[in-house]
Amino acid sequence: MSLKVKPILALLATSLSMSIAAAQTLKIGVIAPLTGGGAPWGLAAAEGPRILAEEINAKGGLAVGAKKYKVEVIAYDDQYKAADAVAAYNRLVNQDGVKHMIVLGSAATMALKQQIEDDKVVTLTASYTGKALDKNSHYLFRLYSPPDDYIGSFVSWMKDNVKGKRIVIVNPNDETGWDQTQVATRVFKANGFEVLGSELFERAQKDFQPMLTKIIAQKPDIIELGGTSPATAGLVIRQARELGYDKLFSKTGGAGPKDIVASAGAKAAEGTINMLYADPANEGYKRLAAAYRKARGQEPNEIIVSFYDGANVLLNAIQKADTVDDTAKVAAAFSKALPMKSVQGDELTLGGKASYGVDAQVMSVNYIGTIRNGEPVVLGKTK
Amino acid sequence: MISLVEQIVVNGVMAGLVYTLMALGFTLVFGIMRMVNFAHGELYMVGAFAALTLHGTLGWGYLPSVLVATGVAALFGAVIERLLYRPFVGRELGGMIMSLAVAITLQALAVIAFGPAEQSLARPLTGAVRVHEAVISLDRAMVAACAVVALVAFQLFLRHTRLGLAMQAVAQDREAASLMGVEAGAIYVRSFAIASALAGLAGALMAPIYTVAPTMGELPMLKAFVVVILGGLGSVPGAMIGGLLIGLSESVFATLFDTTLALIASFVIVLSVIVVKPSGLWSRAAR
Repeated sequence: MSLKVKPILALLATSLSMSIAAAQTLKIGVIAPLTGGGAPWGLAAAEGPRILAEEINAKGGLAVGAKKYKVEVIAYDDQYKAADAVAAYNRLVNQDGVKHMIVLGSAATMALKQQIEDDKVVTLTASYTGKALDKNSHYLFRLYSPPDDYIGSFVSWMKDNVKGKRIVIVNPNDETGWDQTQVATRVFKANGFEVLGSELFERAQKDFQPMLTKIIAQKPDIIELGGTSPATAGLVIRQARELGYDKLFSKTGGAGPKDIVASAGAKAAEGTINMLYADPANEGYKRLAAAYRKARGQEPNEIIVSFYDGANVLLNAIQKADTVDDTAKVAAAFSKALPMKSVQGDELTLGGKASYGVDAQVMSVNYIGTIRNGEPVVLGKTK
Repeated sequence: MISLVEQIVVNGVMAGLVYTLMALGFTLVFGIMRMVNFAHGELYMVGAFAALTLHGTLGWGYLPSVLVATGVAALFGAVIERLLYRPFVGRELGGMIMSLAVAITLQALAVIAFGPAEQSLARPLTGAVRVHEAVISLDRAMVAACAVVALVAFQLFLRHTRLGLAMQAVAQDREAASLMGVEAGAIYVRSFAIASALAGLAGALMAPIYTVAPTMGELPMLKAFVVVILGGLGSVPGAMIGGLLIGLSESVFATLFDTTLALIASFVIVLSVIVVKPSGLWSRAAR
């Protein structure tokens, strides 16, 4: 073979192997409520990683070792129900061959917790329940700081900035809601608030007048809406205003101020204090929101930043581990992937040992906001 | 200051009237076709999305949107009955399974057409009015008024029109009615259209009060089922009494205790009635 042919053949072989490798796909699964009351969060959980995947694929794919992978996001609907989440998980793992995934709800996470460890599937959860992580969590990570971590500074801000300390806590009647009620009751009491009581409602419920009649009779200064989905929170706010409630609403979990305003009306929602995952004025958030609008034709719930960042942390861990198949290495690489910057420019770190006995949580920064003239306005940050 | 007792009664009656509107169509279909239509909630959803499209997207006036949305639901019902349910008349299990399939399909089509997220519709009326010591929101008052008009109109229709009397005849005895010249097939499609119209009307009226989503018909369907079991399958007066009873019991228990207990109480009431009177409170003998 002539000297000229060998380099050409070598070049052709390299190009061929690179193109074959580029055709390989890294699948990321998502289990979230894509329909029903939780859909604003669920759609954000599906689209955040998908937008990141498109950005990476546009640049040639995710480089893992010497290979490049096309990132594909596969999302299934669990309608916020544990049984549907299990079915979605089995489909992702057994049929789609997924080894890395994101799970939104607390009920879904608790139903899948053991399975995730047994199957060694690297999973990021957005669940709020404190029971999700413990010393036995090797493959399960939380992708942001839950109320347990941020609610202290949020309520402390409320103590200093809100008049009136009589509060009733309202939450959905499921794992997330029970957990949030417990946490909120403890933290509000510790900050000098008088917790008059708590109410739980079924997620599919739309008529809150009987519950609100009972709450208003207790004369609260604040109705705390916790983990209520945004559109439902808007219904609660509107129905309460119609019954004559003219005091404050707060929402320490799972914001979505635009959805709140859409169903409550700007006037009824005015002044609602809520936790925001994103600063609407931030350039990183604006870019994500524009990409979501292009894909879905509507405004995103700002929790999309958490799912984008969570997927980014996961892919970074895969790169640091130098493998897409050895999930034990990927799980161990989270400590190398963090700290890193969020899409909004805040620092994401790995933590959680003090609370859960294991460093398996991405510690994020949240924002304290209010609704003014139908728009969310940032007032501060949680610590 | 609102009086708790008066507010409980107002809340209960408001909710009960909507349950009755939903239950009426459901019991009508069973009474005439001996079929449990699990897609009844999806016809409620069809009415709501039709109102959302006409009033929300196209900018039509609210009341014309409600009327047309009711007609759209009626048309859906007529087509579904003629093409899918007619072969299962008298075959209750097959009819139930077909109706489940229709329900799932309609939900999926709504997700494809409108997306899965909950959508809000501008309310035709805002504000509330105080009646003695209770507060009634104006939009709910309008829904209650429309529900009462629909119920009265329906009762008058059943008792004083040829079609209404023919429907009652088929419900009592299909063969005897046929011998008297009443064609069952024509009655079925018209009955189903009326039942669907009632569900669609409820959906269109409630669309601005709550939110509109493909899964919005599931809970009203469950309530309609409970009301109809309580009142008696196939009984129109039973549906009215059952609706108000369930609405009031939910209001009492949810206000004095909590929402979960209210749900349990509804089922306890239904089970208690069925144990004592298995055919329901106001059952009708029918073949």
